[in-house]
Amino acid sequence: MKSGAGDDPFAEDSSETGDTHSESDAEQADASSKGEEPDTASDSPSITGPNGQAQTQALPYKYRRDSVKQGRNQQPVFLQSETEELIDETLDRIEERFDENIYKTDVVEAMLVAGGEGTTPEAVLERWGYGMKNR
Amino acid sequence: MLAYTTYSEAGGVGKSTLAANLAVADARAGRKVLVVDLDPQEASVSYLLDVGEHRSDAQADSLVRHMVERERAPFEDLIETSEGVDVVPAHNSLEQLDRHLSRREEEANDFGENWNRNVQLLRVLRENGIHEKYDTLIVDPPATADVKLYNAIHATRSLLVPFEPSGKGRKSVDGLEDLVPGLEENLNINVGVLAIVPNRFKGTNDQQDMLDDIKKREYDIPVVLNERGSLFEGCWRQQCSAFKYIEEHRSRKRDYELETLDRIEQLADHLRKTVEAPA
Repeated sequence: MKSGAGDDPFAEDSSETGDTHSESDAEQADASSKGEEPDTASDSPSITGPNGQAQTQALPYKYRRDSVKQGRNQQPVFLQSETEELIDETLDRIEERFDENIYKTDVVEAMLVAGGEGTTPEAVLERWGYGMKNR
Repeated sequence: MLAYTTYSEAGGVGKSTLAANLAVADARAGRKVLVVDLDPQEASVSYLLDVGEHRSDAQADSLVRHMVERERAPFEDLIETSEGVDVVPAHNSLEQLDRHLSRREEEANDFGENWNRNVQLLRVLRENGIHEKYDTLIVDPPATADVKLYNAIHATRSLLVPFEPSGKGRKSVDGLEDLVPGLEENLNINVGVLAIVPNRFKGTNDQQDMLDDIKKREYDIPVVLNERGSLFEGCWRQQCSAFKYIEEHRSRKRDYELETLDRIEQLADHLRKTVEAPA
């Protein structure tokens, strides 16, 4: 806490990752992110800095976003229960392999992208910035 | 946009009165002002500004419905205008806000989504482009430290703290220093205190000591508001700001009351300059 004004809560990059839950994988809604395209490639997108200036960042998606929903659109998906089990198993397997917590949202999209690309969910998640500590 | 929450841990220190009068001062200065009333008590800023006729209608749309994503109508329809100030009035369901938000959060978690009960006011305000439509946003939560206060602070990040020079007022400033750092950490935000506003100052030695004590802290204290019981009681009786009260309900202008208006305007101006410093 300081004297004077706090953050600008309406700034585009306003920090939103906080959570009052104890679970480490807590995510949260981030209204500012609606309508932005998910950025799956590790290119250098422009984002807006705290004073409105454009900044270029080459950070992987995982480290670039303020919340797991930033840069994503919400889609209702109908899944068979076997598929839901497969998602959970994949999440467990990759968390164990990378030795870190992974958002289910990331795993689900990584499975979709990997399926389309013909790669693996692990490869997609690595591109987004997971598994860096074991490299 | 200038955005702040009026914060006081103790009730009855003139928090809603200050919120309403600063809102009117900004509107009179030509700004578009939105006040969000999160206080379900009857004597809230909604009452003072004479809005909120649907507050006891359980079927009416309300801010609570918007915060749990169960809205019935556009956000704009919630807004009522009084003395040039747009107000999202209080609704009785605010008393149950914590329960409604908790349920919504549980439900979201059951579906593997994450949803944080403390950030929903900002979500609603952002989704409705409030920062593009208004120059000033004032959120007035109740004095209790609960989900309403957390949502208010999360949505504005800046605080205005009325301070009654009394034991109660001092406890309130101490409470602020206990509460805010934890909140900053939990919500990953930086909170600033725009100003502390000593209120109901009567100039007794005791009060002077407390005022001196609070001045030693690092906060900005741009004005001191003297005790104006008659004026502010009149405002509550007539359900209007001090500006309107003096214009319409005082047959004789009293210099000390005009001075109070002047100080409220100075404070409003000071707050604008703190946040919107010329480039």
